[in-house]
Amino acid sequence: MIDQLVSLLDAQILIPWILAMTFGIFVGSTPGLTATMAVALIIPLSYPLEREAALAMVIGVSFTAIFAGDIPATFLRIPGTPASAAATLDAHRLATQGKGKQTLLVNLLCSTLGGIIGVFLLMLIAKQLAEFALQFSPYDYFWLCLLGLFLGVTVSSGGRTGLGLLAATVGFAFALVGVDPLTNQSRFVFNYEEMSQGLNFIPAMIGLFGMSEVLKTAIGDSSRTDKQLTSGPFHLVKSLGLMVRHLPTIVQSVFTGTAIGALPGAGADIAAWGAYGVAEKTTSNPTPAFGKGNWKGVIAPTSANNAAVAAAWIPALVFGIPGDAVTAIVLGAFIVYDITPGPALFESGNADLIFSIALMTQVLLIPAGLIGISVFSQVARLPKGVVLTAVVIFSVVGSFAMNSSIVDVWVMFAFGVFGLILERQHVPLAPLILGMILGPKIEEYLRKGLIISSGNFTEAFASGISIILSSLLVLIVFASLLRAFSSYQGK
Amino acid sequence: MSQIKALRGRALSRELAGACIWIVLGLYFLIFSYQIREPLTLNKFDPGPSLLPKIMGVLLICGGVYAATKTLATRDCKRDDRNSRGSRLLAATVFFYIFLLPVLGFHIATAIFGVFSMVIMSVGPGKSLICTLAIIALIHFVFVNLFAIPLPGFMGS
Repeated sequence: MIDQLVSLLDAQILIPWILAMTFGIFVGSTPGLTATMAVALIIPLSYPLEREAALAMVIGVSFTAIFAGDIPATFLRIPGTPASAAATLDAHRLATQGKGKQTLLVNLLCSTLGGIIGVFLLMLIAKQLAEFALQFSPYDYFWLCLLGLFLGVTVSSGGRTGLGLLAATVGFAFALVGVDPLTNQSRFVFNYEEMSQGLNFIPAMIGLFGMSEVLKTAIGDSSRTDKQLTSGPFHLVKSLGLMVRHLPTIVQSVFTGTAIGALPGAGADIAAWGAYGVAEKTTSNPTPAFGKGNWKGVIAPTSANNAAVAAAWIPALVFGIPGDAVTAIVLGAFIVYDITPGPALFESGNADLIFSIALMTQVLLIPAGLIGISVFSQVARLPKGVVLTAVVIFSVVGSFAMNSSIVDVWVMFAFGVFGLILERQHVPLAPLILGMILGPKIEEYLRKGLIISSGNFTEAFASGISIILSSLLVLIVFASLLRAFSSYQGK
Repeated sequence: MSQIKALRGRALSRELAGACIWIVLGLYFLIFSYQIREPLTLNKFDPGPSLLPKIMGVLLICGGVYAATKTLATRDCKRDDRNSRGSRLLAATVFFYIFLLPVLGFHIATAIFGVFSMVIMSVGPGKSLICTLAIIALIHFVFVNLFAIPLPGFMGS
C-alpha cells in the first residue's frame, strides 16, 4: 500500500491527476453540470495515458466534483450537483453573512476528512465482503442485482417508483442491444456493424445528464450574470477550530454517509440529506436554527457526501453493483482499463491501487479545492448562454473522442432528447442508468444459474444467501405497494 | 375558464403521449425480439438471447397501458407551463451542428454553432465570437495537442 502511494508521486501521474481534479472543480462548480457528467467527460481524455494516471484522473474527478458542487450552492444557492442540494440551506445563509469563503473552507476540510475516513472504512469493509462474496452462486448474484436494482429505483425515484421502474426497464432493454455475451448472437443490430458492440454507455450518459440538462435549462433569458457572489476572507485557524468543535458531528455524518452510500442506488445526495436530518434530530436547541446558518448544517452534509462517494464503491468493487450514477461510470472506466470488479480484484492488487488513489485524492482535494474556490467560482458568473454552449461542445467532443465515431455523438444527442422528454414526463433518470448497468448482469446470472441448475429455477431459493436476498426483495416490493396503496387511500 | 380547460387538455394529451412512449418502446423490443435467431449450439437449459427482450417488451407495454389508463381514469396530470421553445430551438441547433460536424470539420462547424447558439441565448455577437474561439482553442489544445485525440476533420478527413 505504501509502495503504491509512493509510486503515485510520479509527475506523469500527478500532473494529469491535478489537472483532472481542477476540471472536476470546474464542472462541479458550474450549475447544470453534474459529477456524473464530469466523470463521463474525463474518460475520453484519460484514454491515451498510462493506466495509473488514467485511473487517478477518473477517481480524482469523482471525488472533486462532489465537493465542488457546494461552491455554487454556497455562493449562489444553486447546487452544482444534486449532492450539494443540502448545502444550499445553511451554507448559503452563512455566505450572505459575509462568511462565504470561510464556509467553503470548512466545507473543503470536512469533505477531505469525510473522504479520508470513508476510504479507510472502504478499505476495512471491502476486503471482508469480497471474501464473503466468493461464496456467491450465479443465483445469489441474480437476487443481489435484482435487489440492488429495485432498491436503487425505490430510493432514486423520489416517490415515483412506478415511473422509476419503467425507466429502469427501458435502460435494461437498451442494454440488451448488441451481441449477446453468452451466445454471440446479435440483438437489435439490424446488420449495422457499429451497433454490434451495443449502445455505448458513456455517450448515453453524457446525453442523458449533460445534454438533457442543457436543453432543459435553455429556456428564457440566458444573458444574465449572477453578481451577488459574496466573498470574505479565509480563516484557516477559525475553520480548524470549528472542525474540532464539531468533530462528533463529522464522525456521525461520515458513518451515516457510509451506511447510505453503500446501498446500491442511494448515492451522495441522499447521504447528504440523511446526515443533515440526523444532525438536526440529534441537536437540541440549535442556535442559530438549522437552515438559518448553523455550522452543523454545513458540516453534516459535506462530510457525508464525500464519505458516501467512497462507500458507494463497496458494492461496486465487491459485487460490480454501482451505488450511484457516478460509480456506474467509474465502473465502466475500470472495465476499459481491464479492471474487473468482484472478489478477484483483491487478489490482483488492483484494489490497493484504487484505495491508494482514492486516499491520495483526498489530500490533493485541499489545494485543488482552494484554487477552485478562488478561481473557478467565477465561472458561475459567466452568462448562462456561454456556459450552456460550452457544455454542448464538450459533450459532442467527449462523445466523439471515445471511438472517433460520429455514431456515438448521435447516440449522445438521442439520449439527450430522450432524457428531456422523460424529465418533462416527471420520469426520474437515475433508474434508467441503473437498468443499463444492472440489466445485463441480471440476465447473465439468471441464464448462468439456469444452465448450472439444469433449468431448475427452484434452485434459486436453495442457498441461505438467496433466501435472505429474495425475502428482502419481496419485503421491499410489498412495502412499496403498501405505501402506494395508502397514498391512494389518502387521496 | 376555457383557457384553463385548454391548458388541462394539453397537459392531459402530454401525459398520454408520455404513456405512449413506453408502449411504442415495448412494442419495438417485443416485435424485433422475434427476429433474434436462437443459435444452434444453444445449451438446452439456456432460455436464449431473446427471452429478456421479450420480457422487457411486455413489461413496457403493460406499464404504458397502466399509465395511460390511470391518466384517463383520474384525469390527474401535472401541469407543465414551461416554455419549451428555447429547448426545441437549441435541440434543432445541436442537431445541425452534429450533422455538419463530419462535413465541415470540428473547427468550422463549432465556430458556426458556438456563435449561433450563444446569440440565440441572448449573448452579444462580439462576446459570442470571442467565447467560441476561446472554447475551440481550449478544446484543440486539450484534445489534439495534450492528448493526441483526433477531432472530426473537414469532409471526414
